[in-house]
Amino acid sequence: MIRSQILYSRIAAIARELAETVGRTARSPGLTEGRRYAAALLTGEPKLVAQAQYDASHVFLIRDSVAALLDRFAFNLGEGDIVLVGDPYSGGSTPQAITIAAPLFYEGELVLFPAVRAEMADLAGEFPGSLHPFASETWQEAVRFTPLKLYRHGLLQRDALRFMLRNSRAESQVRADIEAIVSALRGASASLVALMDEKGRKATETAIAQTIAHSRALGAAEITERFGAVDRTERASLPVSVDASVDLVVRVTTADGHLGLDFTGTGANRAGPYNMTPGQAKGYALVAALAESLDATTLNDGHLQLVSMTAPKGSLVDPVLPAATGLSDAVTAHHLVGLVRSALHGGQAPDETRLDGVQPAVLAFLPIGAEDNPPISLDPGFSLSAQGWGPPVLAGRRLMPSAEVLEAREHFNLVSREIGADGRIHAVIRNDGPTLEGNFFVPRDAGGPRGRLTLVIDGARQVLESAVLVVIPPGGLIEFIYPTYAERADG
Amino acid sequence: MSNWNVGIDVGGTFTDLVAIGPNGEFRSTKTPSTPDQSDGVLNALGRLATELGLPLDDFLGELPLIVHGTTVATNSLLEYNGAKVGLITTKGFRDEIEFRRSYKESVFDPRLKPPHAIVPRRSRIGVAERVDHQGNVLTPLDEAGVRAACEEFRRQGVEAVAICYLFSFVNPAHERRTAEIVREELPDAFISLSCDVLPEIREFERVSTTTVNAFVGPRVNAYLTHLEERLRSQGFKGELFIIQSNGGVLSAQEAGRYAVNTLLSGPAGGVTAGSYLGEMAGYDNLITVDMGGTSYDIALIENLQPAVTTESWIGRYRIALPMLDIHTIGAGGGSIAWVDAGGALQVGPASAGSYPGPACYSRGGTRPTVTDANVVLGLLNPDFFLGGEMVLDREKAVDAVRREVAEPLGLSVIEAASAIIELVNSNMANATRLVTTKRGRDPQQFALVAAGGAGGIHAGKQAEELGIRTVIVPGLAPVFCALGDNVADLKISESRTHIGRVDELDFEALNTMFQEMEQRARGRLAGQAVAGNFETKRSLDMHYVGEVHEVTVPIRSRTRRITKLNLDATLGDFHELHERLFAHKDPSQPVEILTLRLDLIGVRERPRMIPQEFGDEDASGALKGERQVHFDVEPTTVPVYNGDLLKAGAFIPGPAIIEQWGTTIAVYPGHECLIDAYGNVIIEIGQARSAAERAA
Repeated sequence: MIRSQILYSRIAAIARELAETVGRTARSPGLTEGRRYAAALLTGEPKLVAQAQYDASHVFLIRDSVAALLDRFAFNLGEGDIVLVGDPYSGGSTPQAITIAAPLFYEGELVLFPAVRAEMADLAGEFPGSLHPFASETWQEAVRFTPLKLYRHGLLQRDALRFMLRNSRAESQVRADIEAIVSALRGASASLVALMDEKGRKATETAIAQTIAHSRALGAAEITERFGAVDRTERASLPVSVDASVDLVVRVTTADGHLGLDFTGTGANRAGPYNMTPGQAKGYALVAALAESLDATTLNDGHLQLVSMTAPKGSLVDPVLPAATGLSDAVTAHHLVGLVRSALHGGQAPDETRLDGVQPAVLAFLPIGAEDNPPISLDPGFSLSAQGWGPPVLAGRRLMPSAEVLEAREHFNLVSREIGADGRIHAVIRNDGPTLEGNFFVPRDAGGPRGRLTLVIDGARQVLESAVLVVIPPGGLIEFIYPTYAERADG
Repeated sequence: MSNWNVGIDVGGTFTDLVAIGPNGEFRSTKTPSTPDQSDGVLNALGRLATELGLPLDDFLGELPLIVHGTTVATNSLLEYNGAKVGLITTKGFRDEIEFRRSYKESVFDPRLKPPHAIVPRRSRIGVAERVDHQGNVLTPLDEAGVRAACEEFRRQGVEAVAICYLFSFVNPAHERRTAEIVREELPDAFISLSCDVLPEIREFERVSTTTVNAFVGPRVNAYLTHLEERLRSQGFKGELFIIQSNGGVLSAQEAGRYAVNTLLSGPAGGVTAGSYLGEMAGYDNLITVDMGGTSYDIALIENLQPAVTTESWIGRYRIALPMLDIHTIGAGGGSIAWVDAGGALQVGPASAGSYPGPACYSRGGTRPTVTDANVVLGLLNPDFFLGGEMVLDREKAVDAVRREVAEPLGLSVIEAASAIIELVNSNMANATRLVTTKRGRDPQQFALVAAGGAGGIHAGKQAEELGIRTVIVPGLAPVFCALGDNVADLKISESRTHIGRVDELDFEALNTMFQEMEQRARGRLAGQAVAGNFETKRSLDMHYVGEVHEVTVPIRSRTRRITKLNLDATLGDFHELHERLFAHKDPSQPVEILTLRLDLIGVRERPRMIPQEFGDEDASGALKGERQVHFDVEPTTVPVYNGDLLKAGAFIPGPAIIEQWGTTIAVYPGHECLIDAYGNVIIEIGQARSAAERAA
């Protein structure tokens, strides 16, 4: 086991390095500052060997997306192939996210290979970017990229790439991000070959198998120790508009450290973007259970094996095509994590350990019709977490934009960003560039809107809830008030 | 005595001193560190003077120079006992230092506590003023607001004022005027200006660095003043220099103004010493590792130049200044071995530290540590720890390993101890591999320099794991940082943000900025008398438009003027470097410059060690006995040498143990070792074994 631990630590380091390289070389702000991506190594089954991520959204999804890829190309994969999928209904979740895998054949077999899942700046849909608060079909959010080959035997499939890029309003960012990901995947592949050359294939496979088994045992022990035997149902009413909501019901059970989720009773959101795919739901539930220890371990299949779920087909957590999914990470996941943690803690999860915390968002772009129109996420602050400092866990490791960089590069003037007398973060952004349009999103819960967005034009103030194609003229101000989930830790 | 150089490094446990005489004669000494670090410094100097048979004042009176590595800034920051700081910043932005760009060290753990607020909110005051990104004043400075802030600070008892306005790196007028007002209102306050400390874009990075400078500045200044007074009162007439985080030295006065630059003053000496050692021993590319009681520090040296980074966090504070890139992991002699709930062995990150310390220290520690495992395996001699000044209890080590590792895992005590060592070696090797691959390098291209008390035991195995062929254990390993203090050059690192695409650059503006930076750097070095020659190194932080991280690229120009030709060559280097680091380049993409950097180096005449003549290969004269050592599960009887008696040219085939005061060196089976002309132990590792051999 010691030898396996040592060998596995090398494998985990390759996954971490792959993730770091993508973050350093990608071009779109969503990846470089938003860190909306994850990197993983997988076996040919596929099993998740090691995954590095910066938020909770990807937990099951690289494995599930790679499974869709391997299923599609089962007997049609060769040396040098790089394959891609970007589809909520092929192992994914939210639109605009794609998974790129570089199958690696060692001694003629698919032993261990890298993959990256990342959110692109724009892949079509009704509006630039991924924020569409009223989408009722997935195609309004993005084009679906079902499995395709980006490279065949090491050769770029130009038609495939062109097809992707021609379906983007942010062609240069998408191109650069894909190139960065492919380069990083090749670097990781070389490291894996070197490792297997050095340690041998058999020892590598043994180390993977032993570590997955160990992680499963460790995770099960933690669930048992922390929560004991749980069988509890929690429910929430998830507002999907000003006057409508959907029931989210989850029965959480733990037996032998296994986390069971039964969503019977959960409603549907057929005409809205709050749907969450099953892989997404399991991933968030796993994070809800193991958040306290996930930083100290490397996520692998042993953890994923701890969760199972059942849900009514067509419901909020097992939608059917063409249901939209764009707000699942931003809203539904927060409710789900809250419910699972509540169930695990006997209905009374300590407030100070809450992981969730929704917040408003604005995505701006040039007026519809511009061919090259990379959207800009205007997200100058964050919800204050239940811990009283920093953003909530579910916000992930997003880097808040620098006021100076925003002004020098993007023609936005961050007028102010400070904690207000109400303990919330207030920020004001002025558009110093040309006229823009923006999609605004303000999440709601039982208490009403969470956070506030106000547009100020020539002194006229307009409080906005969720809205699309809001005109932001030069000199227009957007005032953000972020919600808070606790008092500040330092008074 | 007039040409002696003295380097003194204050560490957590010991204060080390290395003195180099005019003829290359080396002297070193160690004394216990003291709460007032100047006591330890004076004690070390006193001990050396005694060894030389001189009264301390006579000895000090003849010294031209003392270079000092101090942990005052680091301790201040990590123990939160710095100055009471007030922050004046642009109105509407007083919480940037708390927001930390939303960064949390943990992605998932909700139990993570916030960092200690070195400037609490009540002491952060926004003042109306605004400058745009081109330096135009949009809102004039509210001078009355500044005075009101000072009044509030006076009421709060603020000792240091940090001043950081948006875009002050473009137009610093508001910051400078604010400083004038603060000087009038709070004449005793330490002032830290962001346009001086870090004139670079990104407000959080700048305000954090500037505030830390204010937090540690008064403590560092007080200490340096106190030390200098004590030295002067004892007859010292020379110059006191402080080693900085960038590996260069500066006068104590200048170091005090920019105290944040001394946060790595301690470990920086070790990296500088590594470079010096490499030059002497003929190795240009080195990895220095320093394994102490609680941590393992790794640094990379390429072409004798230590790697530098601007992405440091120290404690939980962002420091964006160029600092030696020293990567630290929690692996040391005190790292605790434990079995997790899934039945796997783990080592660290928890450490027993020096108190209670490992079980074998007999100070109440009961948990097995790396040191305990080394004692169990016979790699460490319990009767020769710190040269015999401390006796270790092997039985306690055996008990701890048996109880907490062997029995839970169903292993023998020896198997358990071997597993602990194997795992910690692997952890250290992985961290070392990360440091090299992050810079696009293969560890096999480097020699490993092992310093620190525990470095010599583990280095051979790590080298094997990394495919490294040569390990160097310095003759002065126990005082390695003090050696580095002694040989470091003067160095000023200046930077200035200048955003522009390479294909649209204004060369006049670029050259003017570099000239201004050089003038400022020369001004900061003016008055010192220890360096005659100066070197200027200029570089550019560049990236493809849209990338967040920059790559620092040295400018290829022999002249002071940068021309399109130079820049084209530099651009070519950028693409190559980008590819080396990230396996990816795209010359068709536009490239942007973000920051100009200039290092002004005052080259000191480096003291040269006197090489010893190579003698007989026979090392038997230094043989002090033999003992059983478990290099793996089976015991081997190996010769044990007194390292202090080994002569240049002595050859020792492994397996063997070399014991010196403060260091034990393991020469593993299959390895060979040679004592070089400078007393360094050079271990050759089974010469470039193939991957297949290693696998076998």
